[in-house]
Amino acid sequence: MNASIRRGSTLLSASGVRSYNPRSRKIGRGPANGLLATFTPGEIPLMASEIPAAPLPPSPPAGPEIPLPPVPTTAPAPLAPPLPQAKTEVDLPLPPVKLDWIGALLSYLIPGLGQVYQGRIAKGLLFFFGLYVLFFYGMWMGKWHNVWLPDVSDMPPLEIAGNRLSGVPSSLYYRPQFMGQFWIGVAAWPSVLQYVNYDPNKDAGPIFGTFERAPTEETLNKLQRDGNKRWDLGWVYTVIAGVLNLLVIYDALAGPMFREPPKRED
Amino acid sequence: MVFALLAVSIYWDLPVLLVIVSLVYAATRHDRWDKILREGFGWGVRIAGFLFGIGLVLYLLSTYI
Repeated sequence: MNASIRRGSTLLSASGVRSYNPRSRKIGRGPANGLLATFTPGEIPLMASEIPAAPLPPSPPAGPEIPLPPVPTTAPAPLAPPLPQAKTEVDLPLPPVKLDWIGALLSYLIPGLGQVYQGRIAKGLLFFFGLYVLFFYGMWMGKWHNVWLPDVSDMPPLEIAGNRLSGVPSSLYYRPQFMGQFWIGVAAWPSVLQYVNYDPNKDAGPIFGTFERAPTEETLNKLQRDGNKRWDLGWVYTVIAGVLNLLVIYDALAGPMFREPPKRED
Repeated sequence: MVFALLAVSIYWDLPVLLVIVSLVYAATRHDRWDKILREGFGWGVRIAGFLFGIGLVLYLLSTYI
């Protein structure tokens, strides 16, 4: 009998309901109501879960018998020889994701650098070459004049919901493509440097010259008038490269979307 | 007409976009190269089919309407 039965626990025996008092170590008759009675020696009390199933009620009279199809009398097929016991691989539960902020930062700076830092070198190289080829191919299609942050000092004032925008928010309003291009990392930083040091009286900025510098109105008109649609398609490529790098950053931060479970051999 | 459509250089830039987007996107979803290549191929086929369908519809509209 379970030694942890508490006082007042209801026990069931073959002869009826009993209750147990641990102080007197007596089993009572009837439910757990404190009224004790002696228990028949040799009778083993049962817990509620140990009660044998009650007999089923008699089944209703069966209907007319339906003849069953004859059972084939052929000999049973010989059993296949037992397969050798192979080691089975068991998928373990995935460990919790550890966020790698350093890897994410590195992948922002240069696509794929975070993956290389994490030891996933081939994948990092795929990201690096893939995104840089896409970004600079797009710039080449646009004659190297489709990644920039414009100077808005001489633009009409911009007001949204009564608030006058200026500086970078206003520039992004006039050139929203840069919100996607920015995420390619350091390859888009010359735009920021050109924006900060923009001087309309000069033809080139410091360090980078005209690279990623806001083109003049005349240059833009010439590109769109004399060229084909490649100039427009070019900035689309650069935006796609920047947005794809967001996925690469997330891969460096938290790993791929579908993680491989660790394998264990039993 | 079809040859003139194919001669436009803008369409020859699309394979670069298609291949890179398919491979990079697939690589952000898996770490194993067999899965990356398989899913990248699938995405490439789907994107190419979509672009081809759009191009065909635009060509038919511009030709017969």
